[in-house]
Amino acid sequence: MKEKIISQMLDFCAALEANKLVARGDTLSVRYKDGMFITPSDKAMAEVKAGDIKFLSKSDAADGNDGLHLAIYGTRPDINAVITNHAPFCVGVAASCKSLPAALDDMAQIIGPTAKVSPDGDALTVLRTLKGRNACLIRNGGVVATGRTLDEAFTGSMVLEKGALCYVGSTVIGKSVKIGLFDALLMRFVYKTKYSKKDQTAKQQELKA
Amino acid sequence: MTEAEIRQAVKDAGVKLLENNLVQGTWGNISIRIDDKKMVVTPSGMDYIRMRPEDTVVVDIETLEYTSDVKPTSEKKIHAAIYRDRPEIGAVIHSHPLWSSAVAAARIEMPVKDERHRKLIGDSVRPGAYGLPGTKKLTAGAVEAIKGRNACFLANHGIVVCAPTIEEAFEVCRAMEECSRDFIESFVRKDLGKEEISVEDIFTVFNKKIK
Repeated sequence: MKEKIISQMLDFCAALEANKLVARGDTLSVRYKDGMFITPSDKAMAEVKAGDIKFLSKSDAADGNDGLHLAIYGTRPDINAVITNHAPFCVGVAASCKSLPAALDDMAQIIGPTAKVSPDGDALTVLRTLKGRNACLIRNGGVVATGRTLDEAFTGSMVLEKGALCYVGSTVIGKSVKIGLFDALLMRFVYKTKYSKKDQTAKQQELKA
Repeated sequence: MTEAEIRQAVKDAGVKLLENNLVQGTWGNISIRIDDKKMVVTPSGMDYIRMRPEDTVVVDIETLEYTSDVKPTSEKKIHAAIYRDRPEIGAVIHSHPLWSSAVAAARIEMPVKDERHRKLIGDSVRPGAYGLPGTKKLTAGAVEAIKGRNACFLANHGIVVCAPTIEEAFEVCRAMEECSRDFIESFVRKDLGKEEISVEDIFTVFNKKIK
């Protein structure tokens, strides 16, 4: 299982780079036993090798980026993977807005009715901002995207960047029509409990096999 | 094409959508017409990479009945309605591309100015009425909006395109994305009075609008 997780982490490092979502300092992690595997923050994702990925236990002293990942796993049992990224439209929205409303149904489903903007990168502040959502933005920082699997955290990163582009683009040409809160919550409920359940369960099982 | 070849073509089209970032995750759906009565559609909520050709579902265009154990996409009604209405159409794609989805979130009609794009899409692209996924309202809106054209927007959702073949449907998808990007960027070019623009320029105009 350990080898499969690390191999998958390297695949998603490459995918994040290929989609131009990351900058130096960004990391991804996967929950494992009483801790997590995490990529180094001092290497570009494209340069990360299997040997660079370290295991940190929840009892290890960690601060900064590592501390944030551990804090998320410690408080959110529903999350098994975390990605920090610097997707360009998300970074722009984080600098200008208090939250990114869901202008598209896929963002409402995988992230939530909004992605809120944390005023800073402090772990406790980020955890509060992330409550009830699968991602949040950080003012003058980047993006924290999470998921039940690394695949879901990656898809969430892609969908959030598209959601930011759509909010900005639709505002530029007229008006971004937001999805109503009831519809957004309903779609998120259906996504989590029905639409994605089989696919996500199969992906979790594959890692354990 | 045999049914097996069509299933494979649907599977290949799904992977192509994902690789071109025209969909993310398991969203979007594809169909290819078998004949006057049947179509092959993608299954509901299944990853395009993991999906096998045999996971695609043969659905009756009139009754929407299927015999497979795998559940077809909830948007099969849109696909079937287009095939019933348009005998020349052989493939339908519902995708979630970046720039086209931005126009879909504004719920406005987009003019198609480039002659190359007009041949593929039509004179303009209209938004279908907003509706939750899989609902009659969403289907009715899409069917109405795509009349006389090869593409329409689904409000706050994405796009639907159709064409005689799956290859041509992909061309329509690509044309929609180029056209939508140019449409959005034309507002920025006009506002800032310059031809070459960057992401920062888009945010300059965005920040003015949200003030």
